This record gives sequence, C-alpha cells and structure tokens, in this order.
Amino acid sequence: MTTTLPLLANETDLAARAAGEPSAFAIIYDHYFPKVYNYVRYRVRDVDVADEITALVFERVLTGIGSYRPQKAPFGAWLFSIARNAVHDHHRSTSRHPWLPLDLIAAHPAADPLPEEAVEQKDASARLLQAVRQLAPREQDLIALKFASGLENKEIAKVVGLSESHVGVILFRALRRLRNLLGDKENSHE
Amino acid sequence: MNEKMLAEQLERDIERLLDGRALPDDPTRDADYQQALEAAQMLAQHDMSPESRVRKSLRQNLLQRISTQRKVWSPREKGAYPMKPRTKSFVFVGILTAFLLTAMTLPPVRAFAQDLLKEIGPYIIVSETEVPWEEPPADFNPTPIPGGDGEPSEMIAATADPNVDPSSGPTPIPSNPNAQTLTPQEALTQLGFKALLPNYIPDGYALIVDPKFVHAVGDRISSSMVYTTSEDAYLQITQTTFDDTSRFAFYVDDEKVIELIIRGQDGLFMEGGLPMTVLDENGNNVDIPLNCLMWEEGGHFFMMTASELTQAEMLKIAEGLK
Repeated sequence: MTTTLPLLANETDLAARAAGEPSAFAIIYDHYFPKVYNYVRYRVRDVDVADEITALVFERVLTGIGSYRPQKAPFGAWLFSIARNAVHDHHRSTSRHPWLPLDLIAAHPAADPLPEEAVEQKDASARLLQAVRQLAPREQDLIALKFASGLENKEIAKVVGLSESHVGVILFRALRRLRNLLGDKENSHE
Repeated sequence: MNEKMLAEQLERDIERLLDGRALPDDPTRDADYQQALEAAQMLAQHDMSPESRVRKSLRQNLLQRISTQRKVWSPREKGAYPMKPRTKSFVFVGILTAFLLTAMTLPPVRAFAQDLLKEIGPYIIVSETEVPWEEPPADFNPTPIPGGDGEPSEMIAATADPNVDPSSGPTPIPSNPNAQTLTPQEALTQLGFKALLPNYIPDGYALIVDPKFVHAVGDRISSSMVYTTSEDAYLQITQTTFDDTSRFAFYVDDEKVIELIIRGQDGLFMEGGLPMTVLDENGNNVDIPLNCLMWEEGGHFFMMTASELTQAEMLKIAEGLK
C-alpha cells in the first residue's frame, strides 16, 4: 500500500542511457510512474486529467532526458520539476490541453481500466484527497511533492525555490491542519 | 522544541514512514506534532496510482518511440560547411526569414516542451539538445531555394543588386498574399511601428536585405535586417510584435543560456542557441549553430542572431539600437 519505492541504485547511469535505450527508460518509468501519478493526482481533481498530465510529464522526460545534468540536481528533483510545471500549466489553462499527446493514450487502451468511482468511493481515500484540497495551493504542492515523490526537504526546496527550513515548517503546519480537517470530517461522518 | 526543530524531527519521521518503517509510540510527543504525524501516516499509506488507465499503454508507446526516434540536428565544427560562401549567406537569409515568418502562423508547439528555462516574448526556452523527429506541419511550405548550381534565389538577386527596384521584385520568402513590405519610415507612418535601427555595426558587415525590411501580416509586424561580411559572417536583427496567446519553443542546451540585462530589460544570450538547417551547394542539409540574443522591450520581441559575433559584440549592437 505504501507509495514509496527504493531509490534507483544506478539512477544517473540509467538516465544517461534512457534516451536511446528502452530497457533503461523502462526501469525509470516503472519506478517513477506511481510517484508522478500520485503527485499529479493530489493536484487535480479529475482522474482522466491526472492521466493526461502524467502522460505529458513522461513525454517531456523522454524528450528531455538526454539533456539531464546529474551535477545540477538529483534525477528525482529534475523529474518532479517537470511534473510540477506540467501541473502549473494545467492550472493556468482554462480548457483541457489541446496540445497533450493524447495519441499516446488512445492508441493502447488499458486492458483493465479502473473507473474513477472505484477509487473515489473508497471513503478514506476520498476524504483524504478532499481534505488535501482544502489546503492552500502551496501546502498542497509541498504535501504532494513530499509524499508522492519521497524527495528530501532540501531537494523539494530546490524544486519550489524555497529554503529547506521553510519547506519543513510549511509541511509541519500543513500536516497539522490536514489532521484537523480530517478530524472534522470524521466527526461530521459520525 | 521550537517549530523549526519540530519540522526537522517530522522530516526524519516522515522518511521512516515512507521507507515503510513503523514509528514507536511516544506518549511525550507534543500534541501538535502528534497531529502532524498522524496526517503523515495517512498520506504515506495512500497510493492512487492503481486507478491510472494509461500506465501500460503509455509505457509501451514511450518505449516504442525510443526505438524509432532520430535526431533533428547536431552541431558541427565551424568551417565544416561545404558550401560556397555567398550561397551560404543567401541560404541563411532565406531559411531564417522563412523560419521566423512561418513561426508566426504555426500553432503553439508546447507539446514538445519539457524543462522550461524561461519565457521571453512569444518564446518559451526549454532545455533540450536532442528532440525526436517531428514531421513538419502540412502547411509548412517554404519557397524552394536554388542550391545545386550556387545561383542565388530570385529574392536575393533582386535585393543584392542596387540597380534593381526591390518594390518591383519577386515575392519575398515565404510568400504570403496578405503580407505587406514597408520601409521603416512607411511602417512608422502607416502602422505606427517604430523599427529600431543600429547605430553600431562591427566593421565589415553590410546590410544586404531589401530596404523594405518591415513585414506586416495582419497585426503581426516585424522588421528583419540581415548583414553579412565578405567572409560570410552573418548577423540578423529582428523586431516583432507578438500577442500573449501563442508560444513557440526554442530547444537549447541549458548550460549555454545566460540571463542578462539588455537595454535595461531581462534578456538571454544563447551560445549556439539557434541551430539552423541550411542547404549546401549539393542540396544537402547542414546544420549551423548561431549565437542568439533575445529580449522583450516596449511590447516588441527582439532577436539578434550571429554566426561569428561574441556576446559582447552583440550586446554592443543591441545597446546601439535607436
């Protein structure tokens, strides 16, 4: 059930090979897909939009991985910068993305699709998402980055342009508030 | 413990949770801290990725693309272009003009952007050295440029000869039935477009374009001055209006992007930032990286490209525009 995966041991080497080597990219994809999806899902309400944005993120990762410089940032921080930009682009746009690579999705429909309701009807999950969305956008962003990506606070700080200690304090306050929001909801359910 | 210390402790505990390790009960924990920790425990156990409907299909498509993609360009060493010098300059002008003017009419290319470095004018600068091959749009049809025998194009022939009246010459590249061509003075009086002109140009550079180097297509107005030397060094200065609705991507190596102040405005210098594919005398594509300076000023977007000039020289030209 946990969202965490062990860090990729040879991530830099994999990233260097991934642009031209499907097997290397596949390892990165399998490792990061759940993390990216969870991050995006925390930030958008719609399951289909989350899929589209996640697809866009990996499209960008594929086209940009050849220019990734490990000396500048850990791979995860680089990847989640892309994810964060994609989510911001979505929030800035007023309509659905006409420029999304939907052909990537349509060409191979999943064999066993999981409808949105199947997840949202899980009360605990739905309540948690609902509570997260009552937080301020920056708090949502940091919580999504922290718990989806598993990045350290210092890496998140680089991604969002805040100091490490500022990230830690915002997360601390946001989590307290989230717990209160969840408590309120639990009370309202009883 | 103050809040900062609690936050640091929380990070350590969250890492344990994300690693799947349980936290021991601690009755002495601060009540606020306990609240934060409980929320963290819920989040750490929360995985929504099984609901994704695209995980398998996206994986398959991306892996297929890696197997089939090819490069768009690769920079070559300076001086390695097997092209007659004059032809090279003319081809530069034609292709670059076609690129700039055609770009105004194309839909945004944000689909290909990934690591956004900066937005400036109508362009987004994205970190990229290699991008998958993309077929040109169906309506991308730049005027063919004679190459095999080294003969200059009709447009260049007309503009290069001072005895030929440019206004009666052939259609500029690319042809557009709605395009107007004007002198800077005409552009100012008729359209209110003030084309900035350089008061400093390095020695040896001579203007080779039509005196009517301001182009107007609807609301889009641009001026484009092209200079070359006898050694085929190349310099182009463009100034365009733009709106906020369209964005076009430049793919650059982010290590070669320098942010600087140009004429008091935020700007960029990109070393080899505008690779141009041109035709050599045998009709083959060759790729030439141009240094590029760009900034936004007074609602206009300015771009200067040069094959041989340094950042300092290009800045000096920019500062001298009036």
